[in-house]
This record gives sequence, C-alpha cells and structure tokens, in this order.
Amino acid sequence: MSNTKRFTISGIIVVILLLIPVVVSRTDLMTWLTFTLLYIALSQSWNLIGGYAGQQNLGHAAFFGIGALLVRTLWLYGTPLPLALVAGALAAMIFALIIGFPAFRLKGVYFIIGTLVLAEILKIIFDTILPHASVLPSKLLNDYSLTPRYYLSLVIALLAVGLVYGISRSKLGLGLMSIREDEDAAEAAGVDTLKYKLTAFLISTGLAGLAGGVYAYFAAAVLPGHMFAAEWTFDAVIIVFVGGVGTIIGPIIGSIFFVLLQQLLNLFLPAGTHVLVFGILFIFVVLYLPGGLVGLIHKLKKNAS
Amino acid sequence: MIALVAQTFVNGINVGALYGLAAVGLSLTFGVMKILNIGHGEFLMVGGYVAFWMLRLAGIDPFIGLPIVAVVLFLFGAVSYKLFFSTLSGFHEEQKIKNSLLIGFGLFLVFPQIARLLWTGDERAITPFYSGGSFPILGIRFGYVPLAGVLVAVIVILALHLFLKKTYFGKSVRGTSENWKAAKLMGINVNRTYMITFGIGTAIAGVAGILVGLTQSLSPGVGMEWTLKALIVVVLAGIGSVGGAFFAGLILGVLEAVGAIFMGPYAVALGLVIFLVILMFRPQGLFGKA
Amino acid sequence: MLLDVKHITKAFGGLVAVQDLAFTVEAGEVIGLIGPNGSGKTTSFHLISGFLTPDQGEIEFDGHRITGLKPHKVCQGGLARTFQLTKPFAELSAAQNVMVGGLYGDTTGQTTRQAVKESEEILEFVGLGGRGDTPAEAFGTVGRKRIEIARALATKPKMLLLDEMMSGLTRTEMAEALALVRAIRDSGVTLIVVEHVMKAILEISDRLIVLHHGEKIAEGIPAEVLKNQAVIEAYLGE
Repeated sequence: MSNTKRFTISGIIVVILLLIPVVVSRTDLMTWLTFTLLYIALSQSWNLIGGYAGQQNLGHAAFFGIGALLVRTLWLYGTPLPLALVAGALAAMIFALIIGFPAFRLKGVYFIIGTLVLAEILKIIFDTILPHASVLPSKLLNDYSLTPRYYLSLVIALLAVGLVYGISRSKLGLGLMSIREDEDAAEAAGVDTLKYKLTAFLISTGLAGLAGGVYAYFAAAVLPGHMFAAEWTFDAVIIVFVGGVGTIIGPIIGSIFFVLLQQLLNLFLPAGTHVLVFGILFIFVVLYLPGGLVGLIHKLKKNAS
Repeated sequence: MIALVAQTFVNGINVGALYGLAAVGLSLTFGVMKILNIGHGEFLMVGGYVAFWMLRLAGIDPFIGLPIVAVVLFLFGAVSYKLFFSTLSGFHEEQKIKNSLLIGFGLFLVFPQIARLLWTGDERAITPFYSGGSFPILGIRFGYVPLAGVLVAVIVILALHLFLKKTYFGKSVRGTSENWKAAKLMGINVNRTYMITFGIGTAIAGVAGILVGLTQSLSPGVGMEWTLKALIVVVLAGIGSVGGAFFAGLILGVLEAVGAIFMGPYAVALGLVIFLVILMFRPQGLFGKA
Repeated sequence: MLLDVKHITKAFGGLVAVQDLAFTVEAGEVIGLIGPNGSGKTTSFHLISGFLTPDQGEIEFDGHRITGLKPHKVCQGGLARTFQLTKPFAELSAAQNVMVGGLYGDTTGQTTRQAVKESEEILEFVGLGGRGDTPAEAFGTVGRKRIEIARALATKPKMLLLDEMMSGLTRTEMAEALALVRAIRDSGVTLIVVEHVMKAILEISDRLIVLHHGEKIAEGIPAEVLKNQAVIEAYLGE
C-alpha cells in the first residue's frame, strides 16, 4: 500500500474517531473505545523497546504506575490535567533513566528478569504504603463525563502511534533494529548501543507514563497498587506479540482484538478467560507464528497473489 | 530476645528450605538447557493442588502421596517440554533464552486461568490431622510439618545430587549441559535427555508445591510468587549451582524472616532488592562460576 | 604508523589468550595474521576493536589511544572489523545493513537519503549490486560475508580487520574474494587479515605475523616467515 493511501486511510479513521462522541452516547461503547485506545498507546509504547529495540522489558507496569499515581495525585490536588500528565511522563522517564543505566549493562536475560522484579518491588511498596482506594471526590464524580476521557485517550494513542511510526522510519529506528538483530554487530558498525537502548527506553516509558495518566484520569476509584499490577505489562506484551511484534499495525490490531475478546468472553465465561485465550494465542505465536496477526495477513496475501 | 531471634532463625530455615527446593528445579533446567522457565512456579502450584485433592478426595496423606505427585509432575513436565520447549533447542543461544522466557511467560498466563476455572480462586491449604502440631526445644517451637518439609527438601536435593554424580543418566545430563554437540556425537539422545531433565525439574517443583500447600496455602496465583522466589535463589546461588541453590534458599529464608521483624510487610521487597543488587554487582551469584 | 599495538596481554581466569603482543601496521599495508587454532588471532581482533580490554598494554590507532574504548567509538575512529561467524542484521535488508554502518559508523553526518544511495554503490562494489532489498537472512554464506564487508566499508574505515573471510568458500568464490580484498586495498584501506587458507593469505599479504599460544613467534615477508623453523613447528605440532 503506498504511503499516500496509507495516510489517507489513517486520516479518515482519525476523523471518524474524533467524531465518535458526537454520534455515540452509549457509555459502554465509549468505555470500550477508550480502553482500546489506552491499550493501543500502552502496547505501542512497549513495542518500541520490546519490538523494535529487542529489549524485552517485563517491568513496563512500573512506569505505567508511576505515571498513573503521579497524575492522579497532582490532578486531585488541583493541578491542571495537562501539567499533571507532563509531570507523570517525566517522572516515569526519570525513573527509567535511573534504572536504565545499570539495567542495560546486564546481559539479555538478566535485563528481562531484572525489570520484572523491579516492577514487583514497586507494587509491593505501593500496596503497603497506599492500601486504600483513591476515590474521586463527589464534586468530580458528579461532573464525571466520559467524553474528555475518550479524547485524552485518543490523543495519547495518536501520539504513541505517530511517535513510534516516525521513529521506525528514521535513523534512530534503524539503529534500534540493528541492536535488536545483533548488538555486537551494531557496536562494530558504530552504534552506541547503550545510548540508543536508553533513548528507546526513555521514550517508551514516557509514553507508558502518559498511558498511566489516561487511566488515572479515567478511573472513578482505583487502588494505587493496581496501577502497578503486572497485568499492565503482560497485556501489553501479549497484545504486541499476537498483533505482530515490531510492526506499527500489530499493536493496533492486537489491542482491538484483545479488548473485543475481553468484552465478549466476559459475557459468557468467568472473568479472566480472555487472558487464557490470549495466553494460548501468545504461546502459539511465539512458537509458530512470530509475525503475529500481521505476519499471518502478509502470508495470506502472498499466497493469494 | 534471644528466643525471638532463634525462633525467627528456625522459621527462616523452614521457609528457606522450601525456597531452595523450589529453586533447584529451575537451576537444573537453566543450567542444562539454558531454558529459563518463568512458568516454573506454575508446576509448583499444580503439584500442590494434586496433593490437596488427593487428601481431600481420597484421604491420601500428602507425604505418602509425595511420590505420586512427583511422578505426575514429571510426566506433566515432560509433556510440556515436548509441546512447548523442544522446538527451541534448535535456536542459537540468545534467541533460545529470549524465546524460552516468552514461552514460560505464556505458561504463566495460561495455567493460573485454567486452575481458576478448575479449582476456583479460593485459597487451599493441605491440612492432614497432624498439621499445626509442634514440639518445643529450649523454648523454640519446631512445627512437625515444617520440619518434615525441611527433611524432604534435604532428601530430595541430596538424591538429585547423587543422581547427577553417580548414575549414568546423571552423567549424561551433565555431559549434555557442558557440550551438547559432543554429547550427541557420543550417542546421547540430547532431546530425550532434555525432556527428562525438564521433567525432573518440574517433579521437584511439584514436591515443593506440596510443602507450600502444607505450610502456607495454594491459590491459582501462587505460581508467579514462587517463580520469583526461585529466580532470586537461583541468581543468589549462581546459575548452574544446584547444591548452592539449597543454601541460597536458606539464606533468603532467614534474611526475610529477620527482615520481617524490622521491616514488616516490606520484607518481601527485601528479597527482590537483594536480587537486583546481586544481579548488578555479582551476577555469577555466591557459589556460581564466573 | 597507523596502528601501534604495544605489548598487550589478555587472560581469562588462568588461561592466557594473548601474551605480550606487539606489532605495528603502516597505512596501505596488508598484514596477514596467521597461526594454528586457538593461537589468539580472533582474541587480538577483539582487543584491537574494543570488544575486549587488554589486561596490560596499550593500543594506538591513527595517533590516538584506543585502549579500552567501546567498540562503537573505535569504529567511528576509523577502525572497522568483520566477524569470524558472520553477524548480519538478519531481518533487515542488505541495504539497511550497509546503511547502519553508513549512518552510525561514518561520522560525517550524512542524511538517510545519502546513506541509501551510498549503500547501493557499496553493495555494487562488493558484488551484490541490485540486491539491496533482499533481507540479509536470505543470503547464503558468501552473500552474508559480503554484506558484512559492505557494512564495515560504509563506516569509511582507514583500517579493516577481516576475520576469516575465506572459510567455507569454493575455489571460484575464493578468487572473487581475493579480488575484492585487493580492490579494498586499492581504495586506500589498510588491512589486517586473519586467515587459515594459506594460499590466499600468501597471495594477498605484504607482511605476515604469526601467533602461537597467544604469542608472536614470527614476523616478516611471507617467503621468509614460512621458512622460519618455529613457524613450521607450530603448524606441524598442531
């Protein structure tokens, strides 16, 4: 598909998305859309570090949580939302910088486990020091409207997709992919692997922090520990892989599919079944279909022509 | 005061033995096959549930039923290996490690859900008639069950150690882990060796699961918690040090118990922090080879 | 003097891989680095290119001290290398492989568009003209070696370390490879070549350095080195 065609279609979709709140008033539909967009942002942010740079960060929830917690706290204390969001993203990025330096010196496996453990530590800490749910004060609850939440989610999703897309076509993207393919060879070709891994990590965590901010703004009541729940990482990872790791469309399709499946399955089957289904799909993809749904579509197209 | 410290120490050893046992299977699998199975804890959970239902439905005492659980988990593990991990053995090392992590992660997603569907999310404890009993020595309480647990852990690890050192199969496992190409040339069926090793690892995890069910409780989500514990111990001990895993487990157990006195609920984070510190400053662990 | 290796030593645990190695390379030379298996040739490459840091000794390149520099810095300084077992960026195209070198190793700050064009030229130079869009993993051994060389050349090196370019090649492929090596030399790049295929290295080298058990046991023009008693024993004993 040519670039012009691609942009036109994307443009049309964006316009449609912008107009949705005008025509749709059903809260469940709006919630579903808001969540899909949230997942698109979150999974795309992981895609940058895990899919393009090849560093499987299993502690992504930590950055989502930091963003969410800070945004909610600041916003509830009166900070204008945009400022709070920026603060949330920055906080996530600062944290990423602090742990990125030592973490990236660890060889492959250790990095993956290290980030997982880190997120767990944060969850335990916040579960303990903030055990009570944060509930919106009654004034805000009365004024609660889904529309601004939807638009915020849309903006962040567009930002995430746009940013990752731009990077994927740039010199930075090429460098990241070279690191993914072979770190030693990348170094030998002049790529400062530590610097670029950190760069991807910072952008990725900043976006995750923003996604967390969206969630913080959206949730009427939420347990702070839940903001750091490992599910946020895992959902992002399985969405990216099932959709198509290292592609732009992959996380988008994956997110739509994931939330749809979640809603559908929750109607008939016990909660959490969608995780089971996606988990099985995930294993299948890792073993037999590394390109995910996007790869599958490509293969089918190729066979058809 | 001394009594408190001593009791804490004993409690720490009790839990630590479990940590060590939980870690041994993981260490074995990673040392031999370079597969880091994040789903390791899931097999522990299944083992615990099997023992639970054996007691509940058939009245079989968990210690007597231990061999049954071991066999069941061995087979379960071998089949899992065949299904999920054997395709990985062809990849070159870094890819294999990354993919095995992903697969383990997939198992971690899937197993708890299945467990929840089958057995509900309720917490289960394995409670034979003698659980809760204890005897005092110098004012320190020694629980029957935890003590038996430590004993079981020691026996299992010793047995494994002897198995690897003395038997032909054990030697072929070690040979395959050193150099699988050479092992293959010597006629060792590498794939089968891997499968059996994996099965042994999961069998041990299953046994650990019984002990967890006896001394703590079981729930579908227990897997990840124990995988993390096992990971900490493996890293603390050093990859490839199977015997060291036991001692590292004891160390972790005692540290957590002591930490709980001063840090309360944050003590759990202590283990994780130690893990990170070791990872950064001494990645080969306390007993491992550099 | 382009490269000055000053008495470097590297040991792993109890095993000494490279012992007190010293030699110099002048611009424009082709140096052949030979020796039996395990004599420390590839380790020397790792030490010079920054993948390993010597326990003792210094390395100077183009007037700058490069000891302990990270590999990407060494590359940006004009010293490039290939690997014994090729390391292509498998899922990237041949052109993209080359472009990584052109954008990151080459410090002139060229644009992506320029790098694209340049990658076509370099691929042409190594004999892979027109195949820029093919993913690197689709190439056979010969193709991958060429891609790796192209990628290294894109970094505009003053010196190139070639690690076992000829292994696994047929006679015709070897002749082509030799021609390529000569072309690289003629384009002004100084070369150090590690090779096991004697015939090839004799044809191409101005000078030979022989390693055995991590130590330099001989150095000089090929004809003389091959008559050296120690060299003969090293190879026969192996």
